Order: sequence, then structure tokens, then C-alpha cells
Amino acid sequence: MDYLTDPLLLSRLQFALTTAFHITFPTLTIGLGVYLVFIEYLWLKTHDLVYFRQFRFWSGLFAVNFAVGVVSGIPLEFQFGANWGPFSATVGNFFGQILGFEGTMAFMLESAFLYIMLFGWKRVGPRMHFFATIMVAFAASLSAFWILVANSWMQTPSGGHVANGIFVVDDYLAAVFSPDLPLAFTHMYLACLSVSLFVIGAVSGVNILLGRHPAFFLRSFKFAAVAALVVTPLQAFVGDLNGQEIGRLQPAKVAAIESHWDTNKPGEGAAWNMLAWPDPANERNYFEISIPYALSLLITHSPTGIVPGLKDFPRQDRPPIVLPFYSFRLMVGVGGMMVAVMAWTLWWWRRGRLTPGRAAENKPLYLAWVLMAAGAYLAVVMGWVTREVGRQPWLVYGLIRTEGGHSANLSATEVGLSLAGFIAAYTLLGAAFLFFMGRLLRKGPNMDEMPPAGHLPGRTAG
Amino acid sequence: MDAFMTLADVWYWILAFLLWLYVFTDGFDLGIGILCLLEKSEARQSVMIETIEGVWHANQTWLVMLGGVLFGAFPLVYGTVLAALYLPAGFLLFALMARGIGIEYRAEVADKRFWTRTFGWGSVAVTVAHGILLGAILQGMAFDGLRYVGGVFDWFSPFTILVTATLLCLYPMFAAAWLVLKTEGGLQDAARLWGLRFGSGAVGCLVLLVGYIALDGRLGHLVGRPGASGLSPAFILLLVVAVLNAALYFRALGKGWERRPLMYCASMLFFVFLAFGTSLFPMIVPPGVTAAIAASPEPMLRIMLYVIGGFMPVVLFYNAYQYRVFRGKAVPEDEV
Repeated sequence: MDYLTDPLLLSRLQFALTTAFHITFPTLTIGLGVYLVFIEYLWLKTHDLVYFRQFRFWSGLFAVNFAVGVVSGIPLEFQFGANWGPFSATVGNFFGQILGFEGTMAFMLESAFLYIMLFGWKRVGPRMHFFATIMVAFAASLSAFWILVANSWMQTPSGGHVANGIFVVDDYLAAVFSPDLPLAFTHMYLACLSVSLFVIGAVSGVNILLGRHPAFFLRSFKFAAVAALVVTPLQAFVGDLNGQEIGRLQPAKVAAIESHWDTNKPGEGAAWNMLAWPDPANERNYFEISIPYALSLLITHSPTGIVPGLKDFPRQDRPPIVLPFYSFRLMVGVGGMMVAVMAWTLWWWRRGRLTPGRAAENKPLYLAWVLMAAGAYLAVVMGWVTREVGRQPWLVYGLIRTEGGHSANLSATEVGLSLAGFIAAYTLLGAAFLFFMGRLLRKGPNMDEMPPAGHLPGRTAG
Repeated sequence: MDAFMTLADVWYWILAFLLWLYVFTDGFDLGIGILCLLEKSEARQSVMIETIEGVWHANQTWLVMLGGVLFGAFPLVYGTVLAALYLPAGFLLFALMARGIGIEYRAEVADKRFWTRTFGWGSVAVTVAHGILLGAILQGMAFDGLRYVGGVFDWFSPFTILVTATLLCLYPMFAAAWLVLKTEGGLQDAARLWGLRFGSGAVGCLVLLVGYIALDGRLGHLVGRPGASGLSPAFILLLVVAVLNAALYFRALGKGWERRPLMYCASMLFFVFLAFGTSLFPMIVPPGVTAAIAASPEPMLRIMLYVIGGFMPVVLFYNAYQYRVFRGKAVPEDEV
């Protein structure tokens, strides 16, 4: 149990656990925010009460998620200073500034308008309410953008150099728009949409199955299905682009993800290890099931493209292999299943099976959606594990090693104490969250609820 | 501007302004939590919490902004102080979680006792953490260059206890003023009484605190007399103005005015900040770390000033708008 006495490892574990827990909540609020904008637009356009009630129901889910997202997210910002002091001191002038922008531009905006969106129906008119909803959705997305700016810069730090222990920015825009950013942000944003759509679809599907407000929930299910039909294949496409980009920007990461040891010779293709168990000590795999030429094809889109193997990198610069190898496969596997479930949904929809009367026949489909909702969360977390573990042993790729960024004054007792605290607190938080989500879902939409005066057609706003 | 004030100085005062905003606004939210522990009636607790429901979140967000600005403008402080104060900083995070989740989930349940207590004790814990962190930084931290050389428990001292006691009175004092503005009837009367009691406590603690500093020569940097006992004339003047504002607070409570007690809370806190802030300046972490030493490179500070400075009016504007939307007296069961 040596690793329990290593404050560095405990700090890493703490950041990984708190981030993994936190990320699941904004992931849903980002996508749900967009859905709410869409629903409120339809409500304003049609004044069909079902849209008002859709809005009220899903904004309730939004609120419960937002609450946990915030309380679990604040510790992340402060862990940079507390556990990663030298990192913060070195790069704070850029990295911290970006987090400052996130707080100032995005998080504050979301916090201020959220309560108008949730509790402001009586207090503001329809236009202002719609504006508040747009601001909430926009701010959530903007938050994701700034966080990805910060994280992508850690992956591909550009626009500056380290001198005298300080990161000096030479080209500000190059630092903000680091090479990894465009695809990483797109990939994550689509992941947020996927998670939200599968959650909307799964919640709707279960309700349809149980015969609770089937007409109401078929509407949200169909919306989620149509949107997911666009998003899931797009995500697969972006994921593929991302893979090529990482191959170019972080070759050691790709080699680790694929447990690929030897660079392929010119004219030969690199084989793709579908399954393998690495043996880092002897620089080989205990076993591998591989497809010839496939890795070259995946990473370079040419059957004989050169893919550098792990042996090309000094041992001390190689990331861990097992974790990224399997987390990546889980993520991709879920992504593939999502595309399959979408095809299935489309097929049954076209055969006219998506009607309230035929709910029972569609049971397998709806259950598949529930599975995919859970899978979507898993894929997000696994994607981040791949991304962050694959970045090791660097905290900032090629600039700051992970051990060099850790606060030297911390003892294993201190970090162990806070880690235990986080595990306990997040377990309670997660339990409370599940309890309240369960209650909200069991309660279902309030089908008698009417919008306050001023939000109905024919009357002017109050 | 650069001739008059360096960018690091500008950021020092922006930081002070954000801290003032945070302590004032989240102060009354936290005070509501503390007062909820004293209020026995569940109906009244609900009204008290409803007064802050629409705004507490944005108030707390000033802390997130503060963290980001500190990180970006003074990375050396961010990267050293939080690590050195690891345990109390961690405690603050857990306390914030308890407070936040208490208030959010209280709204969702029928039996509110558990979540009211979570919210209340969470608020007490946040206040204690504020007191310890603020006290620990103000009393001075042992750094050798950037390496923390003090002990793990240096934050436990008579001074930090006094700061904590002051905040434990100050926040309910703010909350009482907030409730006077936002409620009516019996609850408003109760709030006036709380205002008198906690206001007296806050002024008493503040005077004790200053007395302690004046007698203990090691804390002279806080009151304009580095390394010596006693108080500087400028500090005394600002402190008197602050106490005068407290007196006006009591008068406003007595006169039955609804808006002014809260205004006097803000101005009192402002002068307290000014008194300590001008004494400390340009020290950001006493005794050795100045704003200039800890600041980011000038070009970065400039970019940050344009961006965050440009956004600040917008942020303040929509925050004000939010208060306007949720203006007026809180009425029970106001759901939509």
C-alpha cells in the first residue's frame, strides 16, 4: 500500500475523482439548456401548453443538476492552488486568467439568470424570460468553451515559453486557441448534447412504457431521437478527426491508447490492437488481437501511414497504457452502440411504431435508450480518462511534469484527509442527487399547471 | 495610469473590491443560514430562505470570480497560500457544499428540518472557514521565497479566533438588515432585534480585534504601524467612520427604516476594508509578499484588465437587474 503514502498520487486521485464526478452534471445542463431554449421558443411560437409544461418539467431536472454541478465544481478551481501550487504559480498568469474569464463571463451569467428562468415566470414578461433562458444556455456553453481552452492548452501548450519558472505568453491568441482546442471543444460539446438527448429520450421512454403521459413524453422522445440522429454520427466523425489530430499532436498518447510499441516500417501498415494486455517492463504485449493496417488507417487515413510506437519515446516520457487503452475502447464502444440504437430508432419510427398505443411493443427500444443514457455518461468519463491519463507524465504537455507541479509542502495525511472527505461528501451528494432526481421523475410533469398571466396569448406582459 | 499606479496595484484594489462584494452579499446569505438556526418557526425559516433564493447563487459566484482573478493576477499567491492553508481551505469547500446543497434541496422536501440544519450549520462552517482563512493570511504567513515554512496549524491563533467571532456576528448583522428590507410583520420585528444584538456583537468584536492588534506588536502591519504596537492615525480615522456607520445602522433600525440598515452594513464594511486595505497595501500576504512580487507579467495583467474590466459593468448590471426582478417583500409559497 505504498501508494497511499504518496501525496502526489493522492492529489492526482483526488483531482481525478472530483473532476469525474463533477463533469457528469454540467454535461447534462449544457445540453438540457439548449433543449430548454428550443422548447421555450416553440412555446412562444405556438402557445401550445404542452411546451410550457415540457419547459417546467425539464427545467426542474436542470435545477437539480445545476445545484450539484456547482457545489461539486467549486472545489476544482481551488484544488489548482491547493494541490498544484507550483503549476498554478508557473502558469497562473495565463491559465488562471482563463479560469477568471470563465467565472466572470460565463458562470456569473448562468447563476444570475438561472433563477429568473426558474422562479421568474411571474416576475418578468415572456421576452425577458426567453432571454434569461437563452443566457443560461449560452453561459453554460461558454463555460465549457473556457474550460476547454484551459484544458486544451495543457494538452498542446502553445503561444509561449517557460522562463525563470514562469510561463511567458508570446502570442496570446495562439495560447487561447491552442491546436487541440477546436476539435476537443467540438467533441466535448457534442458529448454534452448526446448525454442530454439520451437522458431526455430515456426518461421519456420509461414514462411512455409506464403509460404516464405518453403523448407528452412521445413529444420529447421524438425530439431527442431526431436530434440524436444528427449528433451521434457527427460525434463519430469528429471523434475520428480528433484521433488523427491527437496522432499528430501527442503521438505518445496515441501509442499508449493503442498499446503500440514498434513504429511501423515505411511501406508497411501499423496493426491495430483491438484487445491487448501491455507488458511495459519488456516493451511488448502479453497478448494482442490485432487487425493489420488498421491503426495506420485510423490515425493517418493511409494503410501504410507511419504511426510512432512507444519505443520511440524515452521510458520516462511514456504515459500509462492499461488505463487509456481500455477507457478509450469503452468510449468508442459506447459511441458505436449509440449509432446502432439511432439506426434502430429510425427504423421503428419509419415503420410507424412510435405511437402512444404501441408503447409495450417498443419496450426493448426504450430500454436500449436507458442503457445508452448510462453509457453516454460512461463514455464522457472514459473519454476524459483517456485524454488526461494519456497526457501523463506531463501536467502541461512537454512543459511541466506532473510531479513538478505538485505542492511540495503537502503531506500524505493532509491529502488523504481531504480525499477521504471528498469521497464521503460526494457519495452523500450523489445519493441526495439520485434521491431528488428519482422524486422529480416519479412526480412527473404537472399537467394542470398554467403559465402566469402575461405569458398567455392575448394579454400583455406584466 | 501606470505612472500613478502600477497594474499590479490596480488588480490589488479590484481584488479588494471583489472581496468586499463577496463578503457583503454572501455575508447576508450566510447570516440567513445562521439566523435560521435561531428561528424556531419553520414557516418563518422558509420566508427567510426565500428572500435569498433568487440571489444567493450569484452572490456565491463572486467567490468563484475572486478565485479566478487571484489565480490570474497573482498566481504566486494562489499557488502558495492555498497549499499552505490546505486544511482550512478544504474545510471551506466542504462547508460551501453543505450550505449550497442544504438550501437547494430544502426546497424540494416536505420535512425540511434536516436540510434546514444542513444549510444553517453549513453557513456557520463557511463563516468559520472565512474567519480562519482571512485571519491566517492577515496575521502573516511564513514563506521562504515561495516555499511555505510555517506549520500545518499556524492558522489556529487567538487572532484568527477573534476574526472568526467577528464574522459570526457580522454576517447575521447583515442578514438582519436584509430581512428588514425583504420581510414584514413579526419576522421583520424579529430581524430588528437580531440586528441590534448581532450588530452590537459585531462592533464589540471589531473593537476587541483592533485592541488586540494594537497591543500585540507583531500585527502592526494591519493597522499602519509595521512591527510596532498602536494604531496609525489614518487607520483610527477610517475605523471611526466604520463605527459611525454602525451607529447609523442602529439608528436606522430604531427609526423603522427598511432600506438604510442594509446600506449602512455595506458602507461600514467598506470602511473596515479601506482601513485594513490601505494599511496592508501593497502587501498582499504579509509580511513579505507584495502585489508587485506576486503579480503576473504586465502584458497579461493588461489583457485581463481590458477583458474583466470591460465585463465588470455588464456583470454588475445584470446582478442589479436580478435583484430588481426579485425585489419586494418575500411572500410565502411564491413558486413560479
